[in-house]
Amino acid sequence: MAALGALAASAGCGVPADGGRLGELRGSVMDPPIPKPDLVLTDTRGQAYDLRRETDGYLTLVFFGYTYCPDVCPVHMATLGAAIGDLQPEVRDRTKVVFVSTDPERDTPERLRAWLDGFDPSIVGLRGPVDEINAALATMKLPGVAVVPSEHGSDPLIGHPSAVVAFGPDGLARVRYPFGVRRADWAHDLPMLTARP
Amino acid sequence: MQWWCFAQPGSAWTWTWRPLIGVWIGLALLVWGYRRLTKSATGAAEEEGMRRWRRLAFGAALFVLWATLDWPLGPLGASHFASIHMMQFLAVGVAAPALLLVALPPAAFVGLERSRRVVKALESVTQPVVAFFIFTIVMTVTHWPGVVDALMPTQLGSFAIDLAWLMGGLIFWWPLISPVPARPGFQPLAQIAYLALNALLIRPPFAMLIFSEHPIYAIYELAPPPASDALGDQQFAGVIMEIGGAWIMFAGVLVVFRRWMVSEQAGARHSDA
Repeated sequence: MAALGALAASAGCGVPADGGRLGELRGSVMDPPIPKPDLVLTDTRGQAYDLRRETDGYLTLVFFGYTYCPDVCPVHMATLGAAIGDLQPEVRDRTKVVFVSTDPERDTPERLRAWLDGFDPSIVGLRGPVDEINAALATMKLPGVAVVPSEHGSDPLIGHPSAVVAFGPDGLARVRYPFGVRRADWAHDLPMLTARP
Repeated sequence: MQWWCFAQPGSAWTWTWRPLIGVWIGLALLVWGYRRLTKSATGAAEEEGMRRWRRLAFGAALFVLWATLDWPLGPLGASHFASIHMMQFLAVGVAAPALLLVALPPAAFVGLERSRRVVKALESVTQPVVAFFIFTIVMTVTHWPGVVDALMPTQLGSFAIDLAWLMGGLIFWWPLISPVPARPGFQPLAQIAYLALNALLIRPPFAMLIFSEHPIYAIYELAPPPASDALGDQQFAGVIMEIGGAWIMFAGVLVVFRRWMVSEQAGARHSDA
């Protein structure tokens, strides 16, 4: 748990969402901007999903987590899913949310799809080798996936970044959203992010 | 050792039992205080049936406080569900204070009259209009999103909110239940209006709970499972506050009305004789 805490802290867990504004945005600035990783994984229908190609020209919100996550993942996805549901159609049509599983063994395609549908059916769920995911995380300057044994001998916890990274339509991420970002923050920022390059 | 429940945003919920030592100490202090007060009032004659009712009311107050402040409802209300938090308010800030005051025999209040200063303070603080406003202000401030989000993540802050609820509730019920200071001008009709107005008043935080488009409390919005639908939970919380609060006030109106009828009938019998 301590390792998970340290990992979460390094990834910005608990940092107020308004720390370091980019203009009027409520997320944390990423300076310099980070390019979208070259990542090809498998979606919940079992088809190959090229992150760069499939999301080209869209505002793309990428989160790395797992469905058994007891804390950060369900909260992030619940706030984000609710915010997406509130968006105007023109903003919603220009936004994609991608959830990359950091626990591909337990996150079967069916389980991943059912879990994401609980938040918003439009969220894309991806699975793939952890090595490839870690390589992508490294290019994004985020900590890699770490398996943390459970304190009670039950299922292990998976350490993962706790921030949602927002890639603009140009494929560059200039802002990320640590744990603590709220539905009202998404409602405020998403229309502005889709309007940016 | 955790002594009071508090909000821990982002922390996973576990069903592992953990005692909240502050709740048990608080309840023990209440029992000790009640025994002392009722012991000092044993000289005054009160029928056994009434004494049993008062003990029952005290037991009910203790149960309500324990059930809502201790594990699991205490931590769930502090950290995960706004609806449970509002139930806690109704229990700690409305029901328990009324039961605690009802549990005391009139003779237990008489000791207060020995101190002129205490009576003067009670006269001003529990003057019905003042008590009404104190209760409303305490209720509004302790439910204001900024205050809740700032205080609930610490044990001391969470305890301060619970204590403010209990004190605000005692002040609210005092003019209706306590015989000290005597308020001959506060007649049953005025008492019914006092309760009814409180039941009907929609305070800004409760209106926000029901009508806001987004969750207004960060601690409940950022609560992991078993919490899931922060907005739905918040709307339910608003309904609990409005309907639950109104029902308690309505029960108070019934008690006042019945007491009024009994005294009117007794007065009529007296004049007939």
